[in-house]
Amino acid sequence: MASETSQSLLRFTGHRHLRTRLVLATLTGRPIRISQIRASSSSTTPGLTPPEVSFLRLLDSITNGSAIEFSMTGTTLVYRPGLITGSAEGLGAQGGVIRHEIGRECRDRGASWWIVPLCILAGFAKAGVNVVFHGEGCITAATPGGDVSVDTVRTAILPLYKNFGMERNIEIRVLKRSCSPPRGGFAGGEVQLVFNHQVRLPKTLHLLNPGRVKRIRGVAYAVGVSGSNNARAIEAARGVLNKFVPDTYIFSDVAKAPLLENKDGTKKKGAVGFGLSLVGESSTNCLYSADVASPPEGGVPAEDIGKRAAYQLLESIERGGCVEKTAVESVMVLMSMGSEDVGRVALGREVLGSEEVVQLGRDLSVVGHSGWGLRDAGEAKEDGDVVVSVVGRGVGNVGRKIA
Amino acid sequence: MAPSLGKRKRTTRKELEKPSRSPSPSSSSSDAEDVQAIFQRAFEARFTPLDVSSKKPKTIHANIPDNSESESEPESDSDWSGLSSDNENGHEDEAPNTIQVISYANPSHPHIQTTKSELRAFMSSKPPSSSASHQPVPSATTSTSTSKQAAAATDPTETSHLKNDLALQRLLRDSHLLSRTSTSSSASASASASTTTSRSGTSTPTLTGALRHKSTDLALLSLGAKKSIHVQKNMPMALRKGLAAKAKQREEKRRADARDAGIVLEREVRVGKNGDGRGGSRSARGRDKGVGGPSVGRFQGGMLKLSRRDVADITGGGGGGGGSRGKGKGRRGR
Repeated sequence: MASETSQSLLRFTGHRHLRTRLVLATLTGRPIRISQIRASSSSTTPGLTPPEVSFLRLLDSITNGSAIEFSMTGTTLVYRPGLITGSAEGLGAQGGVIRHEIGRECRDRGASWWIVPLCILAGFAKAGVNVVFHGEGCITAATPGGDVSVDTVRTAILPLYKNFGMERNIEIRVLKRSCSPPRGGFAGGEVQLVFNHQVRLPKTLHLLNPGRVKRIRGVAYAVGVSGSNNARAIEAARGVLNKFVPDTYIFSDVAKAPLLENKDGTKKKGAVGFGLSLVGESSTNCLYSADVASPPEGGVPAEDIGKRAAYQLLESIERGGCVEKTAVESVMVLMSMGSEDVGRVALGREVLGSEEVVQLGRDLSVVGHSGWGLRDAGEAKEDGDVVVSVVGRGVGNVGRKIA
Repeated sequence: MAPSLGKRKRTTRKELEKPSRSPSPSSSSSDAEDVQAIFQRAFEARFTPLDVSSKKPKTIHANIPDNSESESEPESDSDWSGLSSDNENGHEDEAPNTIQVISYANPSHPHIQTTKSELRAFMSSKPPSSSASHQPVPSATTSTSTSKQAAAATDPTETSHLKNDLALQRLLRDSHLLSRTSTSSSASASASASTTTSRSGTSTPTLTGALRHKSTDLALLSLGAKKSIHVQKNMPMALRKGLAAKAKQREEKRRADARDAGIVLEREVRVGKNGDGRGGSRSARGRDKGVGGPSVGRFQGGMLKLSRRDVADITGGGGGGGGSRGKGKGRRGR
């Protein structure tokens, strides 16, 4: 990717889908220029938000030779991606581990907001990727903003990488659990992502049959609160789900509140709360997930959390398709990064028609990937699934090609 | 509540219904506040007339739930002259029939047994791989039964595999016998051998005659027999010498042919006269001496006799004849 200086900048506008665009630019090696980032929408906070800056820092630390330029106000960004080196020694990694701090100002985003795109990149790294996320803004639980918990990433998104030939040495270790903090609080979680299965080219995916949901698993987590919250949430969730799938089992994880040390040596307690992450697995290994956590201000009984998680899972299953909404970005990007072959995946109409997926398709064609072919799956014309055919670009892992 | 309603109805019903159903003793006892009788009639008022045999258990059933209420009811009995009977009868028929049980416990879901392995698989830091998590599920739900089934299922195949394995080993061991018979032997032997070879796919090859003995001998040797059964124990010396010489000659010829053809053969193992592999080579023979014997030369007639070679070995090429021989350093070590 050294010869990218000759390539013209791809131009994007707006703050939406910024993370996706950065990922695509990094994967394809195309330099991008994003302008008018929150230029007019809110005059008080124009430019990049702290989580986005943090994500840029993360990109900088796992790549080599990236150049990131901001404008003065932060409303324009030029990103020239380098090679994805991963956690290679000497490039920001100590002992093969990159420690990425998520500051307190990033606490409206869950850790999964960083982890999911990092996983997409990690498969194409030159060496293994080993990143520890920590800091006052590192939230392992689901957030009110809609980010899933790291448990869901582990149990519902990462298993999909197996379809692309990445299955070994992939781990997400929750070192310290944390919930989203109330105003003025902090999270203080710690998550480690280990992704040591790099591939030259992801395998071509053919997922056409969603199958039937045959089992439901889940993780109920309680951080700094009584474990009975877990039991209550599990009971409520099972009360809803057991009718549909008898093979429902939800594990419970009770953790202490995270402690962070102040400057003066005293310790302070991070945010507390509880939540429930559910994963439904179909007979053809398609996954559907749901994730609900207690709001930072509290006041919601555990039964409600459990019930809401169960209903959310049922909604996710109802949307259909082989890939659910939270994982669709990863799957589509990996498919288009695959070999020059037609991969197919059946998606639910609502999933495919969501803003993120439509924009992802557009952005993919902007960075040089082929467009998607759409057709109805099977006979059901009106509300059935849609089969999306994606032709891979055949570029794959540039770092692996050299090595 | 249902029986109390019944009691209310009792007053109205008592006149309406046939007197045959509510016998006089019960009415008299109702005056004496016989609770049981009240309920009995209340029950009868609501239901179809019953025969006497089934009446008694029914009354017992009816008065079970509301013994406590019955004491408070009688005073309300009189003013509650009764709802109209007919329309009530329709929807009340099922209500009093079933004792309503309200439990405030949550419906208990059947607790799925999860094994520790599944817990570890799901709650570990690794993503639960769908293929790996497939296996624990049946094993988790019916772990013992499946393992038993698996054992039962594998057992016959396993035993047959073992059997076939043994047969194959035996066949391989005997293959040279079989091939020899099929190429050059008497017609009967070849026929028998061919039949055995044709059958050998399924069963152990059974050879006939001398070949069977050879095969048995090989089997015994492989199982750890000391010596072959074909080695004759007692034999005239000349005969034995002739045998050994012939075998040696045959072996030498084979080796010479192989050398000419450029074939590398196995390393030569010198077999001693006693056939146990000892005393063949010089060095081996040196070790054969008895305890206390001399390490060089031979003790004979009370004196140590050294041969010319022994002397040459000791002096290391001092002798005229040994001069050429003594140069090799490797020979010293003998």
